[in-house]
Parts: sequence; structure tokens; C-alpha cells
Amino acid sequence: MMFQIKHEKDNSKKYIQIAIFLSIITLFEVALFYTTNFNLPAILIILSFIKFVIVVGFFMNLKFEKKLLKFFFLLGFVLSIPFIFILFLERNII
Amino acid sequence: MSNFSTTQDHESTGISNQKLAMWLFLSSEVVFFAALISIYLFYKRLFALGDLTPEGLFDIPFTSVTSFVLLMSSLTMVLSHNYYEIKDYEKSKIWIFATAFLGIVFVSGQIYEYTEFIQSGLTISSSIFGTAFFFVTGIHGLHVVIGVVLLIATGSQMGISNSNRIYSLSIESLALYWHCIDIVWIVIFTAVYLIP
Repeated sequence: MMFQIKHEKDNSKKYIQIAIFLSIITLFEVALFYTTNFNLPAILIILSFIKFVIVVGFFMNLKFEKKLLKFFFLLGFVLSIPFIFILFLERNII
Repeated sequence: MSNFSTTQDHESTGISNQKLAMWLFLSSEVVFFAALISIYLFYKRLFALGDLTPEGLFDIPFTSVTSFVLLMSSLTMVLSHNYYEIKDYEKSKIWIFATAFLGIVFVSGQIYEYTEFIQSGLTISSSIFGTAFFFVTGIHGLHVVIGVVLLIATGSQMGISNSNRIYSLSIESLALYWHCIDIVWIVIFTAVYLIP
């Protein structure tokens, strides 16, 4: 079976727009760090998660990939959860 | 042509084996770094260096700039891949070298940061916090260095190759690897530097 190369159109403008959005989120994170202590970790984790999803979804193109690849990538997160849980349990955080 | 088609001979999932292997590798990287970051968070408060706390040491504006550089390297990498897909090999090559340059800038920033910390008294053996910090950021930095070497090698090959097609999967895999480095840093920057 021959692998199919997708001759896609020029998406450079779309990628630049995404990068600008990611930069704004990063600036916002740093600004939050200096201006507020209100529930800072929770807000930073949410913003970091948004950046993470955007890079994985659009730059890594996972949003448009087959389900098998999505499954494999999510598997990494699922496998990480027990480890993190045990670690925090050991530290009596949860 | 023959080199290109032989890589697809055993494909049975509808996805090229190289791509599948790359995503499995990235999945294992996620587990690996999740473990490292968890260890850092676990040991973050275990330091014995007087005033050398994470809050007192970290230069957030400087690290924000290096984080921004790495974020922009993801943009240059995706642009390189984009131009490769539309067969504009010259632009693809320029952006791949731009990515390598930004990677070098990031690593240089990390070396400068390490120098500052070591002068302040924080070393890999000075405290458990130091060990955890240098281990997490150092392993990530090592990944960036490997990525830079691969970028330069691939960019150089593009220039001398007669058939650019055979590098399509290589560039895609390299782009995936580089974006993975970026997303790991997104988490490290938040978990290690920003969260009090």
C-alpha cells in the first residue's frame, strides 16, 4: 500500500494566528503571576492545559488524525495518572 | 522511490508504521515527563539552603522570554512542515534552520540560568530540590539538544537530496518530536516556575 502524501494548501497564516494566541496566553500567565494570588495554581493549570491542547491539536495535527493515534497519545496520560496518584498519596496530599 | 515505498510495506493500520511508532514514542515521553514533574513537585519543598527558595531563585521574566522562544520555535517548525507539504522546499529548509537556531537560543538561556543558580549556591547535589530541579529541566534540555542536532541534520540533507519526497515522514516525525518538547516545556514552565 502506497503512503499518501497530502498536498495541502498553504496554512501558514492560520499557524501564525495560533502562535499569536499562544503568546498572548503566555503573557497573561506571567501577568497573573505578578498581579494576583487568587487561586493562582488552578488558573495557571487551566491556561497551561489550553496551550497544551492547542499545540497538540493544531501544530501536531492530532485533531485531524485517526482515532488510533489519538488513543495512543491519550494512553500516555492515562498511564501517568496512577503514578501521580500514588506519589501524592505517599505525601499525604490526597 | 524504492526507499520511500519500502517503509510502507508492512502497514496494516492505515497509518504509516513510522508515524505510529513516533506517536507511541511521544506517548511514552508523556509518561516519562509526568513522572519527572511529579517527582519535582514532590520534593519541591525539601531544600536546606536558607533563603534559596524556588521563589527567591527563579527569574520569571527571563524564563518567560526563553519559554516564548521555544513557543515560537514550534511555529517555525510547523511552518517548515507546512511549506514541505506544499513542496516549497527552500522555505521549508529556511524554517527548519530557524527552528534549530531558536532551539540553540533556548538551550543557551538554560545554560545561563544554570550558571546563575550555581553561583547562588544551588547545585544538583546541594539539596533534594536542586537535584529534582536540575534533573527535570536538564532532561528536557537534553531533548532540545537532540532535537537541534536532528533539525540541522535533516535541514542539511534536504539541501543535498535529489528526491525530497523521501524526507516527508522524517520531517513530520521531527515536527512531532519538536512540538512534544514544546508541550512538555509548557507544563514544566507552569508547574516548576509559576505555581507557588
